[in-house]
Amino acid sequence: MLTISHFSKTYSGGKRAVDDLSLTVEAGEMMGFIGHNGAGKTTTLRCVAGILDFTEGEITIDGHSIRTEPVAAKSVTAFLPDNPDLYDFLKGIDYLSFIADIYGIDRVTRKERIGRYGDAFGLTTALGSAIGGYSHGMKQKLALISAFMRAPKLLVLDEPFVGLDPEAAYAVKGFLRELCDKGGAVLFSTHVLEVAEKLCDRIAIIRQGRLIECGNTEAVVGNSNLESVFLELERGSAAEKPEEAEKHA
Amino acid sequence: MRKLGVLIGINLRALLSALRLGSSKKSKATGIGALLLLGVLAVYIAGVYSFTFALQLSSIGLLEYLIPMMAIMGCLMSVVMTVQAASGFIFSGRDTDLMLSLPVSAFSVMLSRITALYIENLAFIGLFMLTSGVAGAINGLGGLGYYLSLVVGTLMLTFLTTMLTMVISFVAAFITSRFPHHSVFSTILYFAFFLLVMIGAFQVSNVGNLLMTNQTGFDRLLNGALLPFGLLKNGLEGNLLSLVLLAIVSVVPFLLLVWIFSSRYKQVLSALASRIVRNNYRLGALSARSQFSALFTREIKRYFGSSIYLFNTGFGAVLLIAGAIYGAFMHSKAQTYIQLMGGMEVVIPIAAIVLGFIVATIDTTCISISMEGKTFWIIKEAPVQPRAYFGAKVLLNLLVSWPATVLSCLILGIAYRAAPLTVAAMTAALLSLGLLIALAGLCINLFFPKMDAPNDTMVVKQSASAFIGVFGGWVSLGLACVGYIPAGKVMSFELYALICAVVFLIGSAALWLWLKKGGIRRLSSI
Repeated sequence: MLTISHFSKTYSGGKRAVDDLSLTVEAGEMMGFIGHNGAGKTTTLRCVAGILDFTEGEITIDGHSIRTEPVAAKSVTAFLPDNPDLYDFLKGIDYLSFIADIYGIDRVTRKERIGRYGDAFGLTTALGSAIGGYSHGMKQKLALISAFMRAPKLLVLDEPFVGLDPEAAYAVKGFLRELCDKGGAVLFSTHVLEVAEKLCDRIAIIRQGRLIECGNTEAVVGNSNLESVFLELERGSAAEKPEEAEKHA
Repeated sequence: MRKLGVLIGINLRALLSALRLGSSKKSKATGIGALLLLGVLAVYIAGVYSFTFALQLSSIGLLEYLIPMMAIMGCLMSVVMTVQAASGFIFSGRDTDLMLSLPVSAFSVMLSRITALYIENLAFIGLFMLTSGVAGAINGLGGLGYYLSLVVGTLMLTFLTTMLTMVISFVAAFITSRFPHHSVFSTILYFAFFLLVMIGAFQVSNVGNLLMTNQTGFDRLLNGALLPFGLLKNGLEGNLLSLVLLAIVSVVPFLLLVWIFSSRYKQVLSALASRIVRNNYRLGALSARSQFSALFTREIKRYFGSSIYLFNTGFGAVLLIAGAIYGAFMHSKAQTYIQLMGGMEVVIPIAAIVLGFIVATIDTTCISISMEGKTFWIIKEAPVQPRAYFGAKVLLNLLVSWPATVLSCLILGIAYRAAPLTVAAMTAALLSLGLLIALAGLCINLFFPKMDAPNDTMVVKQSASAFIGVFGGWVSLGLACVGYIPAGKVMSFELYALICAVVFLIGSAALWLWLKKGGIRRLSSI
């Protein structure tokens, strides 16, 4: 569903945020994307979503290049940033209707989906109010509803559990699994390693813009736990390439 | 004291950062260009009025009134230029939470913000007074008292101006936060305020006559409601005690106001920021629209959801219609002036220039991408055709400018019994100018986007794109005017207006073609 091959991203100041990253996420698969702050996770996810431009490598979604066929690629994708700034001047329901219009979701389907996800997140009754008055958590829930409502083939989420109450976090996990069961693919970044370990089929670990580990969760974790593996890999990688670490710093 | 200095520095940088005074060469260049433009505007307006008034007043022996009059005008203009910025900067800055969480008093936070605003006002009033002072000196005013009063007067009157700016912006922000459709209400308030200022500005040209016929009344004003300006006049005449008094009446109320605001700052901010989230929505039938229709509706809702955006780009449309209605009512009185000016043949081109000048201010597109701000990711991740995205933005601009343009041309044409062909040619030229401005605005914003502004005010009032958009429109109009000087001798106004319409349309087509290729590339790089 998602293929990233030899992808690199260098910012205008010369900072190389991602360096020659390649990975795939198959249909029906959920992949956790793990790394330190500044490792290149958000940059990668934003490039996958078509928000950031890049010049090196290729990213394809459902066979469509995000660079040369952005509209086709985005039509089957939903993205949730780590801090979703939404249109404060719209009511919650107007925002969802706007997204539904952009993705061409018909009236009956949109009503059914908004009702379903809205009720699951406990937000339906607040949809008549302006987004400007929503708390951070409510905005996060609204953005999640707008993402799930599209029934995307690929769902890309950046720290989706931050700011959510336990009930909503539980609901998100259920909907992510359901999406994968229906043939969708999920790629999400998180710092909550327990969640990644329990939820994901595969794990990718990125350090200083480079992929240092990628594989099935069981294979990556082995007899240990993800936290220990992650810390070991981080230390090992730093010890192996001190000059490179200095260069990136 | 050191903390206060640091806070003032931070707030000044926040104000200046809106002008893109960043570290890159391009940012610096556009920021300095915008500042220069402001400076040139202050010097130009002060120069035109002060030299005209100086001639008028010296001919009737009342030159000593020049500086107080120019000071009144400069202070009013400074209020007009900063009142909305003050609202955004003092009462809705995104760094307010951070500022108030620092180990500094609310008084220091408020004082630092107001000081930054004071410095911005001082830059404008300073240039305004300097130019006026030169006009006075050339026409015979001078002496130590004169120059000392100019400096002291400028510094002190800026306190009063800053105070007035704060009070107006606070009242507008506070009242409007109590209303459900606060953006529209806020816009109406600002419209009313600006109309009052404009009526005052129209009266300024009659000030020479007013002084001649009612000098005593004017003196009474200077000793009453306009006391600070009266004290300035006395100071200019060598009365140093008046300058001391001026300092007292300016600084003491200023500090008092800062204290009152700062002691209630947190409550004020809470009241302004409070929004009610109702939990009574029931999901009913939902309608579906096309992608373009959804984008266009979003543009309209954003437009009416931001009072500063609506006010600054929609004021021209109101002015067009209000001006045309006023012109129609003044039809019989205007006949004498029309004859004096050389008849309708001369007046119609002038009317077209005036209308074109106003049409050029209706430029929503030059800031509409910047207005996306931190919500831009929504459009970037959506499968939106760039053409539909651009089209929705251009259509909003046309929706604001075109109906007002047609209405004003029709009203004036009917009232002054202009030939149908004349009205049609003028309307065509102005409509095509509106289209050119809408498309050019979009291109300009693609080159000078400001996506990280902390509030709408900084995008609308202080971004490079906003300046370039409006002044670019005036330059296009100016070129058309210059072209008419030789062309008017060999062809009729109607033919020239139609040629202008064709040229503007060709320019528009070229810009649209660029948007479809280069524009899409620029959009994806933002």
